[in-house]
Amino acid sequence: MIYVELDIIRDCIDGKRLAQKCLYDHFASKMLGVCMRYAKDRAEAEDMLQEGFIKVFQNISKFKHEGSFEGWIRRIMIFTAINWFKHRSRKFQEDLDTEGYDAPFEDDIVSKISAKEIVALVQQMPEGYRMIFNLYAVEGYTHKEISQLMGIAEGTSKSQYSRAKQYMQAALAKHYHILNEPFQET
Amino acid sequence: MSLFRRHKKFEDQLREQLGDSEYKPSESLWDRIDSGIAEDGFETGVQRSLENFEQVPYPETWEKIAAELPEERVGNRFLRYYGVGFLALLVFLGTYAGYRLSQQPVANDEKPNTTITFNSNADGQIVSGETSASVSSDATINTSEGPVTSNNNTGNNTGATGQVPGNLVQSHESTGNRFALTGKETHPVVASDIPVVRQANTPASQGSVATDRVANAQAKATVSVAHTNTQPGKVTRQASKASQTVETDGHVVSRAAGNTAIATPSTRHRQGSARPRPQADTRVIRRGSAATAAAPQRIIRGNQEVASATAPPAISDAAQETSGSAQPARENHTIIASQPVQQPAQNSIATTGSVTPENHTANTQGETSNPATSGTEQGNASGSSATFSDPATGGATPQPSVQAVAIENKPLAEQVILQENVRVLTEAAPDSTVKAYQPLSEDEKLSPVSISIVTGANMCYTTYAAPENYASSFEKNIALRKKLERPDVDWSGLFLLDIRLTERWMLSSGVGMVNFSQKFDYNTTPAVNPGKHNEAGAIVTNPGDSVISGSTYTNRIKYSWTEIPLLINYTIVKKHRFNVDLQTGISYAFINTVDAGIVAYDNKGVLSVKNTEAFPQISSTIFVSVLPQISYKFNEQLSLGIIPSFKYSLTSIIGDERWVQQHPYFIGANICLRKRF
Repeated sequence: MIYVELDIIRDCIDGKRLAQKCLYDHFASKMLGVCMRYAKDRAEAEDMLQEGFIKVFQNISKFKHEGSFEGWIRRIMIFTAINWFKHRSRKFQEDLDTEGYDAPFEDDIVSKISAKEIVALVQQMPEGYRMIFNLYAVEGYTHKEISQLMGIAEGTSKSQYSRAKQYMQAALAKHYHILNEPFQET
Repeated sequence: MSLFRRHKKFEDQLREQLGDSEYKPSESLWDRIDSGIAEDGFETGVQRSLENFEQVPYPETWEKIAAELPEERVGNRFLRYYGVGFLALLVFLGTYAGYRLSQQPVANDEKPNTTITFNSNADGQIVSGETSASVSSDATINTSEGPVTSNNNTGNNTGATGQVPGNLVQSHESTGNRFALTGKETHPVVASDIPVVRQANTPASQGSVATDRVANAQAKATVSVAHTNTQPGKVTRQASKASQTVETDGHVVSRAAGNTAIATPSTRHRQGSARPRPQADTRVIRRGSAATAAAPQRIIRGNQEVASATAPPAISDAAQETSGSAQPARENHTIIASQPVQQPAQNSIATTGSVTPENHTANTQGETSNPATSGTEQGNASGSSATFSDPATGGATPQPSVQAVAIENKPLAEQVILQENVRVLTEAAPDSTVKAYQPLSEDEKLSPVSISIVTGANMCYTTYAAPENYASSFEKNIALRKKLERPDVDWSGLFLLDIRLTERWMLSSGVGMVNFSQKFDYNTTPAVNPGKHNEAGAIVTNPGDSVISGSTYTNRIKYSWTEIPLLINYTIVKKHRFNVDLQTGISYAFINTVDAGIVAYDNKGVLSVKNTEAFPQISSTIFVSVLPQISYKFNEQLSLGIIPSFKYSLTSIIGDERWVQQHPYFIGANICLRKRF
């Protein structure tokens, strides 16, 4: 794979389709991976990806070459996902059915499952949990930054993340248990 | 202790005491810190796990993105520059054509075999002429043999014998105190009892301009006719001189127009694949948007089963999605050739046309739409992109752990759904091979259009040739003129519109100005029978005075042309900063300015030629140019070159073929500034 980032950016600013396609081909897989974590399914992830890349190409001239270009695209995808969440008027799930979430789990259980399995688990989360979990645990935003991005209180971000983590850990425990023990129909 | 000394606070004193104290940490402290950093927290583990997580999107996603993006600007730029260049060329050609049309002679009554008499009145005005085999003048011309009267002219000035070719005009004027010669030495002309032939179509006569012009036109026609009579072989050339000019013009124009091709770059984009058009990828295409999922298939997502209409008859109910993240194949989807989706988009993949159930069968390779295997197919085709069979392996793909039919009919447990989701995600992800993007070179990013400005100085020379088919010798005249007419320096300029055809070939056209200058210094020896001196006693250069070399009289011969070049340029050497080019071509130059003195054919007298119509008529010409160039590129758009040039007139600038023919040529040095767009 040979590309010169500056050349691609310059050609994309000029509106050259080839450069846009090349840039899309290079970053689409990774960004779809990002979108998959924020979407509830692949279809929604594809839509999110489409919207995100349109924003990338429309605003590529605003890229100031401060930091990595991939990071800039990633931020656009994340903001697209956040807007997606906001426009759908998703509310954070406050009442959480905690049944089954107290199952024991191993601290390093995350290392025992693949990325795809983690994404599948994240997609299973309620949407509010999913957003906060992605922003905090994966993207590394602080709760303060999350609160500003999402327009929520910092405490809400913390509580949502705590519950998301519990959900994730419980799901991981179950998944790990299922993977290692035969499926038993009840 | 001073009373004014401020007592320090306890804290300040304590800080002073402890400020410089240092304690060396234990050796294990860093290890504990390092292990703490490296310790995998939950978040760190999640981040590390998801760091390189990728999923290849469906090809139609790019199509949707491309549809939303504005139109590519290259086409606009192409149209813009080529369109402007073409319009500019059209305007220029139209202007030139209009100019040429406006230069058509007013009178053109050539009549073959017409005898026309040249007579000059006492004022020396040519009224008409009479000729037999050639044009002869009834005027009296002072020659070394004595005054030649009208009746004697014919014998002495028979064109057939190769002597005086016709309406020789001397530079003297019979009226007024006009200067006989242009140059430093000027002498008033006095009215003489020797009728002299005044200069044809000199406009400063009194009340005889129109007559002169008519007479001159007649003279021209007569000359043409006379020439026709004597030299039938030259009819075409001579009689159609004007049209030849036009023809030449037309030829040049047409050639210029015809050859000024709008170069189409063969390839504007270098790329590792085809033209920028999204190619269908080797995968099952499904609509990516849940919102558009109006398929008559049953979609099972998450914990819900979304009921829908019945499936198309050719695709059984078993052909349904089982994963939460996939959508069913729809009628208008194409199952592309079953190559692995790992193939990059540049590989030739089957079309993205609509798929009927029949086509669905036909388009798949190694796959069938057989309901019996549709579960497998759909199971393979669900969700991820690399789900269909590889013909190389015969189509076998891993079977899902849960049969599609079973999933369809039974409510799914959470664990089963989770397993299914995981299965979908654990299918082999294709390599996200990105085709090589070879960025355009700086040269390729520029349009093929450029403008050049060439200007420089030239040394101007002339070659002389005796008129053809004339027995009389012009050798002495030519020899004398070579001595008297010495090269001088003058400037020339070109404004060119260049169109690059290929990397090394370029076509140029435009407009330019060529200036010709020569020094013309001479002396005279008085005639054996000189004319009268003027009353003041000043020496008068009589027509009979022989012109010899010297510098008594200093003149300047000046011509200027406006040329329309058509040049072809080849880049011999192309380096990063330097180019060596060779440019050559022809140009049609139509005469603008004439200010010359021409020694008479018999070396007696000097003709003052002030305009193109004056004898021997200075005509437009065709130049051939050779312009090697060494250029320095400041950047890809701007370059400055040095051009030693050679330009030669292919045709004689002397319109009258019975006169000594002249072919000017130039050797010069020019600079060229080129700007690419």
